[in-house]
Amino acid sequence: MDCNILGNTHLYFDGAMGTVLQNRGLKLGEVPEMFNITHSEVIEEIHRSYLLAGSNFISTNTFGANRYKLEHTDYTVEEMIMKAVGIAKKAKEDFPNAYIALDIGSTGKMLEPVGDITFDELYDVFKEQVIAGEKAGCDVILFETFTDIYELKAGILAAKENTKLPIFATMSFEENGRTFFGTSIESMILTLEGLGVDALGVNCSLGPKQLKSIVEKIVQTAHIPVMVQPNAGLPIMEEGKMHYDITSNEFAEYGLEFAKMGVLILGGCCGTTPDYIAKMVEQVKTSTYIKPNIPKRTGICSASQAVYFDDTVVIGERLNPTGKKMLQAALRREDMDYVLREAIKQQEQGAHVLDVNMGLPDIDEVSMLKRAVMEVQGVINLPLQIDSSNTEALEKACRIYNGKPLINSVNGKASSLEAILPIAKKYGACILGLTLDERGIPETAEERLEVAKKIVNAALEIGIAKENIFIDCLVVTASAQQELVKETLKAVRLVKEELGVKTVLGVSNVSFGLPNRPIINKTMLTAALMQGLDAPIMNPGDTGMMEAIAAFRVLMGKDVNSKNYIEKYSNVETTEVKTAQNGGRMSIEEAIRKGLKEEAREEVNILLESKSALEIIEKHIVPALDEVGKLYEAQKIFLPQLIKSAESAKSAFERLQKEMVADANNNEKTSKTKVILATVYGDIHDIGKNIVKVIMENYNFEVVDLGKDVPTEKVIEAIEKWDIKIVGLSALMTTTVASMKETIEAIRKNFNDVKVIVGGAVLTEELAQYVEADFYANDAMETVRIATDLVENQK
Amino acid sequence: MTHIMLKDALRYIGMPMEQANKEIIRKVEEAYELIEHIAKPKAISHKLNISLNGDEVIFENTALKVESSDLARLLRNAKSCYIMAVTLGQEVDRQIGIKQRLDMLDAMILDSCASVFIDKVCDEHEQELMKSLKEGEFFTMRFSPGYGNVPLKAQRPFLNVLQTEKKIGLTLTRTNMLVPTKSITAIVGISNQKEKRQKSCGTCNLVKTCSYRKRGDSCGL
Repeated sequence: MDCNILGNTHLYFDGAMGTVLQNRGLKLGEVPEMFNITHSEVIEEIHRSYLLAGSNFISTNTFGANRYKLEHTDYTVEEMIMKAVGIAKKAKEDFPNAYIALDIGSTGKMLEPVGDITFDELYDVFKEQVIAGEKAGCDVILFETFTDIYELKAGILAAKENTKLPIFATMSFEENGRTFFGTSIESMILTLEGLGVDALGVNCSLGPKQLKSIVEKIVQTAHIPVMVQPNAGLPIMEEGKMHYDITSNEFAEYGLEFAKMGVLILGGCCGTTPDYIAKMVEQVKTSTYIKPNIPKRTGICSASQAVYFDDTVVIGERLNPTGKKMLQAALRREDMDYVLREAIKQQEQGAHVLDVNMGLPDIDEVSMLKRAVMEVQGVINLPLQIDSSNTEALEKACRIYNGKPLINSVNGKASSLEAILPIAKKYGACILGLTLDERGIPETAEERLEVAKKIVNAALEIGIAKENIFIDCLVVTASAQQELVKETLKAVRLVKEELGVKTVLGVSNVSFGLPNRPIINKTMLTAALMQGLDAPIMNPGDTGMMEAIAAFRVLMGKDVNSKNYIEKYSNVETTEVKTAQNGGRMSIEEAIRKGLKEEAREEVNILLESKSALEIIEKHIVPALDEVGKLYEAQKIFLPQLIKSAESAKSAFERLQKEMVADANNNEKTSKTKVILATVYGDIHDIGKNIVKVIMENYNFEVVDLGKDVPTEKVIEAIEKWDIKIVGLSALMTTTVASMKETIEAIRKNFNDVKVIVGGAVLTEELAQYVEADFYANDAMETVRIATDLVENQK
Repeated sequence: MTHIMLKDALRYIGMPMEQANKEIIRKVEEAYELIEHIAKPKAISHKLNISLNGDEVIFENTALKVESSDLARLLRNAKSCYIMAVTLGQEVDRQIGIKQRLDMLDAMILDSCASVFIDKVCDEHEQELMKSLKEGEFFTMRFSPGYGNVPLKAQRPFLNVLQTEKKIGLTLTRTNMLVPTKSITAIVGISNQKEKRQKSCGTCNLVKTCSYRKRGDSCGL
């Protein structure tokens, strides 16, 4: 199909297939694609009637022709698609100008970390479909009824990398303007435009009436052709039969309205019939297509949230191990919970975007960056800036990123431009260019502008739009190169004025080596904002800098009526009074017993003035925890109180760890026993395991947490890698006890000195014997006791 | 938050009602408030005619058949039934995930409250359906895949018939677990006589391992 046909005149898709088939005898729950085999004449007739009604495109009966849904039929994906396309070809014999769209619906599977399917697996599923579709002779690929932009991204990459066919992609929204998965309209558009689809839009879920505001928003945001396929209204169940509440005449009226708004491609979904399409075509033909003129904007997004750089954007810098000892230590022990806590904290502190950098010389950056991006995007709504100097790490992370990322960074060196720009182009990312090249960082602002020009031109040349380019004019330290600080500031202004692209600066570098850094940082930030800085990369926990931004936005008229400023700062005094009232002291033992996090941390601060970290642990925290454990076992306190105490002890330990990381000698003295905890393969419920983790960490164990749905090989690898002697496995459902047994068998085969403790809702002493575990633990404390005994015996 | 909701949440987190202090109760209250705010409860149901072939329950005009003596016994006086699915949506799962990173107690409470809440949503949907009963029609006990000897693998055809993925965003893992996790699928028969509607530990798969029973309690279902 020649994509030039998109954009001149309205085009028409067909209407429903599924609901029409139901009226022709398809039973609920049956595989609709089987009609291609058993009732091919019915399918052909439906296609032909849509063509007669005026459809330019017919969609093959292959919505669920993927390997999951065809699993229980006798047909392969390729066979089914060949058959379906064959029927469509036959139907359009008398309509030489019509096109065949390979219809691909969502697989009904959920991706990790919410579900249990990997991005790569889903890519393969779609790959199979699109290759078969192209081979069979389809003209275009239609991805439709998607609710997860992440799944849709896997499909689009599969189509782009394995076929030459144009791609149309539509998602289903609820009235609140989000999909079931929370994908927003802006996120859909930013992501799909970035990936380079040929048309995008909305289908199914609602009738045209409810879709009106959604369609309006899409048309006013998208820069590429928009496609809409509504249902025939809302479903009504009557006597076990489904009806829809809008007539074909009403449907046609709405079609005309959408066409006038600027929708290019129109069709129907559930409940529509050839009659609906015929009437709509007749109506819409009376109008001419006028392409909406939508201004270009710089934006990136997560699946649920878009950030546009029209106003000052704070990029959180805390997920970068450079100069951060605690994060370095966490990454070396692969403690993703620490990374996630830092991410959540920055979100709460008001960051708009998070920079993610996992570059440490002694860790595998490629896999670590990918993992960090996956985990962070699983819990945080903010878009990410993917930060690495390793091309492979950037590529892999961009591939599995759920949304449109910002890549940090490319620079003026030919080798960098060649390697990085194609990644940004392919994955539809924004790109951040550093003003340095083969000669290093140029001294003058004018030279930096030259490098910036080179980067912008190279990006434009390979097809990256100007609004997707950022420039970082590079901050130097005032203590070492004082006279160059003002060159940076001047360069920001020049880049804004001459190139008109967005600018970024890692502001706090400027104060390195000087006392009272916050004052310098805040002043530098204000100065840079005045030169036109769009997005500082900074610590959102730096109150002074956040205040400077809030004030700047008031003074520049961006914070209209100072609304945000007043909201944020009018209560400052009262909170200060509150903290002052909390002056009462309690011992650390008492704080832990009562489960008071802040008090425990505060007490540690005071104790640290006179005692070593080790002493505090041995003399204060361990006895307090022992007491709590005993109270729990005697049923004097209950699980919630046990966990609360554990959390307060954890906060004390975290404070102490800062001291211990600073003093490397301590590491040997405090070496903890490493244990693995995992929820077995096939099981996605892991809160019980995570409770065990929190408790164990307080009793001198270092937990290697493999997460949920953990394949056997991963457990074996981890035992080997960390030299583990104790493994804890959990299963919630009867059906996953089998995979617990398999995992334990594999452990036995590979190691003869590893002890396995099992637990979880369905486990019993008997089942533990059946799976051949060494121990059954009824709860978290029992796990600790068993593991502690094991450690004692080993000694 | 009703008294029963508080009681149920406390039971799930293993806290005897009389031991619960103000702080725990406040946390439970806050968890319910958060759920009210973030949950997007959705329900879908179909009324289907059924017939029995020995222990096999056949749902007419669908591809669904379930082999289970427990289900067949439940539906012995029924000619039709409702099948239903309810979910709180993804955001609840996500928030439970976030809380687990910040504070396990908060996470456990939110998780438990969400379980109570989805049960309530299911009850309410059932109440709604009950209004459609004609004279001489009565609901049986509510049953779900995984109860008694109703196989968990019945989840998949069950979800397909209801088209839950498209209609309410409810899907399954390859091991037939529901995602979002705070979701329920259920079947309730329409019987021609008054039926016992209270569930008992006797029909529960967890009867041997149940920690509520061990301490002389019941899960309250």
